[in-house]
Amino acid sequence: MAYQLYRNTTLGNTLQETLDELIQFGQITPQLALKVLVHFDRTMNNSLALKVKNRLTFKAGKLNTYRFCDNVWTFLLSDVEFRDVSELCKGETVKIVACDGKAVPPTKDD
Amino acid sequence: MAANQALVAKLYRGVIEDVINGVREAFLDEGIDEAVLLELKQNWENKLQSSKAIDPVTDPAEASLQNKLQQSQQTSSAANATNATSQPAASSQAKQPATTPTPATTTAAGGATAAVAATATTPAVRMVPVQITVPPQPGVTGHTAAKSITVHVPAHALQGGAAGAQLQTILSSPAVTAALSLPVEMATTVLQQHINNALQTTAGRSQSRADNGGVTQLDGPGDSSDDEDDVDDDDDDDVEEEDDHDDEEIDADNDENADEEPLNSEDDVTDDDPSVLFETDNVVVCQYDKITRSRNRWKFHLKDGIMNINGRDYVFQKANGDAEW
Repeated sequence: MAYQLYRNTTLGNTLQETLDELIQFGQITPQLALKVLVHFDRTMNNSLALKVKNRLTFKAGKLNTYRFCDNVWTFLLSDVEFRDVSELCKGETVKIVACDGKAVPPTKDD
Repeated sequence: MAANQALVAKLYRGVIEDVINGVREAFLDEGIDEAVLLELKQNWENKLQSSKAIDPVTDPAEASLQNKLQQSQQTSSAANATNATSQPAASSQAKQPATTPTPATTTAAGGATAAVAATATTPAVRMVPVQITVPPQPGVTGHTAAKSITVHVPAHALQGGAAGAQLQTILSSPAVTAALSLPVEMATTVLQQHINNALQTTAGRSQSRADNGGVTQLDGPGDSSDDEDDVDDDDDDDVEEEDDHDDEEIDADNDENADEEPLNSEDDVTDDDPSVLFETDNVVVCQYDKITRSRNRWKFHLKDGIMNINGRDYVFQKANGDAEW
């Protein structure tokens, strides 16, 4: 079982929109769409764990709000600067949603 | 972070390929044509492309522009909510300079027709009937009894200030005094004409204020007495003067504070509403290794994250950060 939280990303959302359309036009069943999403979850978790190797740091002007619920942290930060080696990107307000990274080791069998 | 974006594009392509290949069998099992699977892939890629999340940020100026757009979008919903209320307040303030006394100039008769036209064709200009009582004039034949002449003047002329003073001047001019000794009908016509001509400079003003009258005023009690209490009757003269006095005070206040935010701008509303609080377009989805806090200092150790910042996607294996609460 892989985390479903990556469905709430650009890639996940666009996939869900596409699947919804196919369901609406009767081209696939909702069950099949769900299978696709589950597969997406696994792929996304694995790809991030195995293929992404970069590190970055960030500094926030302020932590406005934090919430810890069902083992999920949610933070709302303002004036955030992300640094990737020498490159920089800024966000006025940034929401971080984080699941427990230790609870589910990514499945390597894909 | 151009390098990161190249990484994102590569990662996404890999995920799409993987997902499509991985579900091919499931599609076949349900007897669904391969074309549907390809359509899924195509549409997914198209949507991803049009999201612009993996478009490279070409230059910093564009990035900051993007940033600004994002911000304005974020605030637009809140602004929409307040617009309805702040609009009338803002517009009424904008009109304030119009009420500041302007030198009462007696313009040449050339402009008079325009004024008459303005008052005649614009029903929005509020005309108030004014009764002038002429005491008996024993010297003049046929005028042994007091008579009253009713003329219509723009409401604002009855206020204090320059307009009121101007009306006073008009009514005490020799032409008017002479007209008062005419029979009532003629006196009325002559007076009306005279007032219209003389007040033409203020017609524009009253018109703009009258426009404002159509808007529901939400910034507190009336800041102008245009729309009410303007019956110049001897009985309620005192009340009227009081009203006018108050109004002038408010006007003066507004003039002083013209630079400040209009009321109802909701600049004092804190964004502590939890539902709104977690609303932002910049989202980081990730897992946490460790979250620590000492006093109000938080440290975040995150991993396997996908971020969407200012419309662009980024990924990270590890991200460490800190913030103060």
